[in-house]
Amino acid sequence: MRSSLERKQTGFALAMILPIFALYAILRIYPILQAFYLSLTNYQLGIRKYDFVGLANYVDLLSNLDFLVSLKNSLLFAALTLVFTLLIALGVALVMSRMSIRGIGLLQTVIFMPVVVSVVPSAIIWNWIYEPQYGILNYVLSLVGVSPVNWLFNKDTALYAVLVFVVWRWIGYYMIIFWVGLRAIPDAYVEAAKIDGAGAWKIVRSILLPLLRPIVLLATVLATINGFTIFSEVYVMTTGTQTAPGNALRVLTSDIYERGLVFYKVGQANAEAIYLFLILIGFTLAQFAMNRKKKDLY
Amino acid sequence: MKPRAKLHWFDVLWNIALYLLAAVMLFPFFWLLTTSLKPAQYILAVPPQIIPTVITWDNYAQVFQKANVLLLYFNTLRFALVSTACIVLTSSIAGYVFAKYKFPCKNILFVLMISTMMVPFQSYMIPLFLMMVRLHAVDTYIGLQLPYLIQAMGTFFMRQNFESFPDVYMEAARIEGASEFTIMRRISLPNLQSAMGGLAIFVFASTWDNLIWPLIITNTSKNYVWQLGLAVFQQRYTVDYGQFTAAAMVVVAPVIIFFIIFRTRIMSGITLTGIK
Repeated sequence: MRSSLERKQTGFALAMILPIFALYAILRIYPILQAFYLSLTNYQLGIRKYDFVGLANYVDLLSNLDFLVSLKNSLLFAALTLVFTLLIALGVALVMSRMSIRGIGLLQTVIFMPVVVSVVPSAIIWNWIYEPQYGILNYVLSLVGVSPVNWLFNKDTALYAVLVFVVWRWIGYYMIIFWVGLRAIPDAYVEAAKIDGAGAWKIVRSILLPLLRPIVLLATVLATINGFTIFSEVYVMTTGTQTAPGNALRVLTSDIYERGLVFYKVGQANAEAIYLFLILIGFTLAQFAMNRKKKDLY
Repeated sequence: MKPRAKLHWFDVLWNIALYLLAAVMLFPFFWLLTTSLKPAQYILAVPPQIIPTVITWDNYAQVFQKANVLLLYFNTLRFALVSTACIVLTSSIAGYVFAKYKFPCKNILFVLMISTMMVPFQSYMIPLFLMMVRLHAVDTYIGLQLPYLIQAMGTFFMRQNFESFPDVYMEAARIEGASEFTIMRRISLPNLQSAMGGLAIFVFASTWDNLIWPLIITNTSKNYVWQLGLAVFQQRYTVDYGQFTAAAMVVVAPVIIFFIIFRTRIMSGITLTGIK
């Protein structure tokens, strides 16, 4: 009786899971393995014959200027979005949870709004704000005597212009994550510290932040991944007709896209895709390791 | 929640700071709306008009004339809704089975499925595209939809939720003679509706926002979703911010209205799915 019931359950479980696993095998596992495999070949889209070239693509990329520029931009971009987005979001969440703020619901709704409004229409607004001749940003700056800047076209400013847009878009998301984490900290801890005479800064540093650490780790990992895999924001803001070069801000994802699907160098593009994957894994593991080390200090 | 006591001057400063930040966050939407309503000569006015003195619907008329707005909405909603339904269903079933059943190779299957979460889409999008080429699915709805039937993060999220679902309900139903399938359909899945709702919001929002896969897989405007349609619109036509902003408004307005109505649910859905 018992074993027939168990067999029935096992049968049911397998009947449910195997079709779903098949989808994973076809739509995820196979393409991922193929990305590894193709990165070791000189496969080009439209050419049937290709050879196995070992690690040549990986080595070639290391002296490829486009790749190096993308790598540098992606590192810089991910680091800057992480720092600015998380600091502002954490600051806002702390103020909201510790100070007497009126209308928190309204404030959160407004600050979160850019998260739900999709990327292309948002980028269109910002393109218009950054517009060199008639844009409102250059107008406001002209009032204080700054001459017009072509924000998205200029190699020195494009990254920072997109950065501001991305920070604006993501603050609300991390604000809610931090806010939920802060609300889970019992008020009693803070009250006890107050009785002991701890000031606001001391409470934040010695009580709230340490208790919030798992959430901060999660937010850091998410922000790193989001920063490195950014594509739409960069694509829409730097490849329009008015900002034609597309080179002003080249990041890893846009370089993979261009290399593989515009220039058809599939082998090389996949090697770059694997580099992206390795970078992400490396950073994620490093963040977890650092977190563990810090925990030991307490 | 704190009582509404008199505010200390320090709190007043923080209130002002946050409302200033909120104003900065809101300004681009305000600027989008007003630009879309201005006649061409006012859009390029220097100094810019903050509050428009003359309002026109011309920009919108142009957008509706140039773009097949209904088709774009149909394509986008079909993509987002079918993705949401499929991913919530496959994630819930897989999460449930992984949390509540024992079967051979369970751990291997779980690790294989969940580890795909660690690989960013950009790392395997080209092989996925090559697969669609072989399936003759390039520039078709099927090709657009296929990669979004499953999601590792969703499966992981649902398994976490089912772990805390008590076994007693299932045991009780078994004693009553219910089949495993009936238990899943009538008892287990309905009990996790709120987690499924959160996942649904998350998936819907991210599919609605997806640009890279539609960009790779679709070529003709009859298959465009909004994100791609807008991006192409912006690149193809001569720079006309009246029309660009009007087109963006057509996409943004329903989203904002929807968000304001369901804001609490949406905010927790989009963020908490990431936390679990």
